[in-house]
Amino acid sequence: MSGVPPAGGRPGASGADGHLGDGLSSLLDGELSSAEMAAAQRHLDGCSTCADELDEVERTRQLLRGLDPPKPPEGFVPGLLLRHRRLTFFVAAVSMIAGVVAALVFMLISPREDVTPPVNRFERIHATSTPSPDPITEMAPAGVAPSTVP
Amino acid sequence: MAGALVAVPITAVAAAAVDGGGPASSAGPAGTDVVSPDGRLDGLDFDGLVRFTWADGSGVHTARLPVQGADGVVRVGGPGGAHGVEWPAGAGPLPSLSGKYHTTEADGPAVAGRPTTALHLSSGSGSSETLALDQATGLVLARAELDPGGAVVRSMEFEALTLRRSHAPGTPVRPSALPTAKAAPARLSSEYSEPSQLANGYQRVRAESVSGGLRVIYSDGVHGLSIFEQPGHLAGARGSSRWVGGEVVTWQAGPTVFTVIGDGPSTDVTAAARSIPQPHQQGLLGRLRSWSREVVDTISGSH
Repeated sequence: MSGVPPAGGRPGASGADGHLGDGLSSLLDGELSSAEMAAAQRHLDGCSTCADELDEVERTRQLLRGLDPPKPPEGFVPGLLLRHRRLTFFVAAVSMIAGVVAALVFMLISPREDVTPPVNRFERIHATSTPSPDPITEMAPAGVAPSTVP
Repeated sequence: MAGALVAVPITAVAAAAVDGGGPASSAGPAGTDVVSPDGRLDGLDFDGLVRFTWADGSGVHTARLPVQGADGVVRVGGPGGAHGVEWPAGAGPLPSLSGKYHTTEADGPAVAGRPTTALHLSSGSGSSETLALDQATGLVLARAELDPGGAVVRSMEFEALTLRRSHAPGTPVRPSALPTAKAAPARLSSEYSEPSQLANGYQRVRAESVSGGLRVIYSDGVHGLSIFEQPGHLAGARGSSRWVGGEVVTWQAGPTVFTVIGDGPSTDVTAAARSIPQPHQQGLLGRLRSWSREVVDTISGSH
């Protein structure tokens, strides 16, 4: 570790002042190799400033570990859920309206279907279900015309 | 037996003859009719054989058809199949003849061995026809429709007729098994047209739904006319044609395809078809309104 000054206290490698500096955090976090760790340990043995700073950093960390996790502000979570619900409803409503509008537009502008009147069927309907004072003559055409048979 | 077969419509025919200034019926069957409270024939059935004749461009044709009347239903059979209709029909009274026809009445020839009263009908169109009514029952035993030149267009005549009492007068008859028409919606969209009357004395009798559209039924007291209306675009050309039962006219008007079928004189049917008002072509808003109304009617069950 180039950032760990050699034992004996030669200032320099890590901080501009020759102390461990940020190397202390690496040491506490176990990020140093065994050689670097040994070098740092040798520096600490001879440098009361870095040893005190290491103690300070370690205490601070322990203090922080003992604190409760931060809590969100009052109403933050319900507000977040409410916003999520509103967004979901909005998206669903817009999708539904878009679908209905698309169906309406399709229905309204779609061209009329071609119609071929089923004349034979109409003739049979007329002959067999038109009120008449003479139903026999009215129905006779349906009885004689094979083309009127469904 | 006498008088038992007279049906309401025939009574109307006889009454119209008097309305038209003709001499009173010599047989006077209407005054002695026995008609059940629901208007059905009461107590008598009949079987017969009818000769039906019609003329078209290829000549004069004849067919013999068995007919039967029982329990308020008249059936006509033949090569084309058997067909039945309730008689008298439950559509209410038909229009009076006096509005269109000049009628005269006299003793008629014997038909199928039975004495008849002849009722002659003529209208302003020049066509005419003669009906021979059974003096005892009022049943139409013969009928001939003539064109303005006096040629027979269609005729019907009983060659044989047998009457029989099926049940005591006043005995309820069993309900008819005939299919019933589906009534038209109470409110029609503007694609449809159902005027209360058409040219040449045709008056609206009723409207009913048919597959793909609407049927409006008209009568001039003797002849029937059906308007079939289908929303859409007519595939093919408009035109008119004759069939064994009368005249067919098809055309496009606005957003609707019209097919008119009438069994009256050709000129009458054509004139009536021309008098049908053209339905409005609907814009987007109108179509949306119609569609909404259909949805509401469907949901509310008023269809």
